[in-house]
Amino acid sequence: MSRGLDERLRNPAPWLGSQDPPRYSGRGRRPTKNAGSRRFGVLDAAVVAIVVFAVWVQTPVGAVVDRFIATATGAPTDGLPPLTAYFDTGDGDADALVEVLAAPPTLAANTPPGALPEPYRTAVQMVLKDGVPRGARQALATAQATNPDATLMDVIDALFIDDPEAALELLIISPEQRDRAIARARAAGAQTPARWQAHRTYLPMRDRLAGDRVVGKVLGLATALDLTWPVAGPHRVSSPWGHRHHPVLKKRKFHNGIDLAVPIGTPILAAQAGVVRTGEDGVSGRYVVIDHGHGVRTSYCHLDSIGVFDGDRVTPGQQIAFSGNTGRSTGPHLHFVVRVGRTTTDPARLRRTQASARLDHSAGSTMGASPVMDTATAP
Amino acid sequence: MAIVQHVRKADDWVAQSRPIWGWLGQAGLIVLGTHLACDSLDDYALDLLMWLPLQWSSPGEAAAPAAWVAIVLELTVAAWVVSRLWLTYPQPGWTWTRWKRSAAVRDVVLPAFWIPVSLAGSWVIGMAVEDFVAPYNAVAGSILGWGTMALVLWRLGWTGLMAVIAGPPARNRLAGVWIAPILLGLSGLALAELPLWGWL
Repeated sequence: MSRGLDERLRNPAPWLGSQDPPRYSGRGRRPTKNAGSRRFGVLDAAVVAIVVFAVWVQTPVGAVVDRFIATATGAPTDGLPPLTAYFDTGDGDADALVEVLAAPPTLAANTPPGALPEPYRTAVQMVLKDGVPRGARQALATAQATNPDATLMDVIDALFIDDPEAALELLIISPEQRDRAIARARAAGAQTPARWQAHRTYLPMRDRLAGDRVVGKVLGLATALDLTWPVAGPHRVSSPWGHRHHPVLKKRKFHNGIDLAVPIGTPILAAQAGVVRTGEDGVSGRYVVIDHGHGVRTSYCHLDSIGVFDGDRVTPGQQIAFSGNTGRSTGPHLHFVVRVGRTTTDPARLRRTQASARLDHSAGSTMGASPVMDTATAP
Repeated sequence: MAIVQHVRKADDWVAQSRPIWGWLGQAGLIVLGTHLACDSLDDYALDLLMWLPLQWSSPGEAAAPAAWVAIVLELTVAAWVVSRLWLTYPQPGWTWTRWKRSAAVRDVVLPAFWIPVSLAGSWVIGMAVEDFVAPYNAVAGSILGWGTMALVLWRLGWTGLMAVIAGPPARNRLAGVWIAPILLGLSGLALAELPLWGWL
């Protein structure tokens, strides 16, 4: 190694100011008068200030400092984001959606051409009832400057071209900011950079948190409202969602899904597009779990045979398995579970939100006149 | 000329206080890079938690513990890096020969961690500058973003690397073996999360 480099490394960081500038060894470039610790003071101070500010705004370290300052000064800490918000998946507050889904509205059968389609339309209206984000308020004010009768849905319909996710994002962030985030996600190798969950990481923290509150929540709600029924043809609901007397364990237990009495070998269909995970255990038998994104998952249990593999991407209505009687079961049936976040919701309620025939795969499908079903319809 | 003299004097005066605040910038750079790495760490932690034979009712139930794994790891690494920069100074008389004779695990792992993570941290700063300036002028935002990234790498990344390389010698060769897997894992994640490669 050259003596010049070795000389520099002997005093590797006179920048720290703890050593005198390196002495000239007689080889290489003679150090200037102001070499070493006395240069770039203001520049370094500016750079350090920028870095410290970024740490404070963008990382959990800054959040810890915020909470420490708030606690020390007695200021309220309610408005501070939780530490886990910095690692959010973009699903929004999926658990809060369960309360909304307890009494889901009926979707509109028809929407104006070129407007935001269902179920996004209903989902946006439900989410924005809790408050309109600042970007949306500004967009509404701009629209009302030319048309005083303009509503927020008019603004969103104007933003919608062919992608509901893009229209929702543009309500919160500018098109240029969105394009930059997508370009960064693409450069990082994301397979679908235009999707919200793929590029939200590359947005400024403030936009990311605002987007999760609106975009993530709307997409989660819309995904749940858009689920279809896993079985075509007529069938009976043998056990609804909710508390019941367990037929095998002989005690009162919470039933986290709905049981559909179908004979062995009935085709089971994916409720929506998603990624598959399969498995088998003593309770659920052979099962398939589909992750539809945005915190929404459906499970299909007690299957006879499975026709998909782990990691497969399925489309809405795609056949994934045949029903069976595997696991802890008293008879052939499909146990169908809808999970939103960490909790389950009643699939039958979601089914009744669908006003169009798109929901039922067969026009003749009936739920029967079972008193069990009547119980499930009670509010 | 008098103004230039005053500016130089002010610059000298600020520079002499650098030992007090300089390490903060270096540590902040590493915290930013670590956060970028931990942004994907919680996804892997979630996969690991789901793989373990624990009775999760759904992946959503495991999401919060996975996030806390990432948070704790990030805060631990941040505290450790701050302690390394704050409590140690480059040693006078340091040479590569002496380093090779007494290098411990820590002395190899720390630079291997520092380089990609400081690169990631400087990229985060550049991105933030671009996002701030671009609404006013997109081209200026891009130039300033890349320029800021290079500046931060030079003034903080490089000097911090020199500081950790030339730190005091470890007491034994195995010093740092406990934190080596964590640091190397984070440096790999930082490299993977860095979108730089797509621009090249």
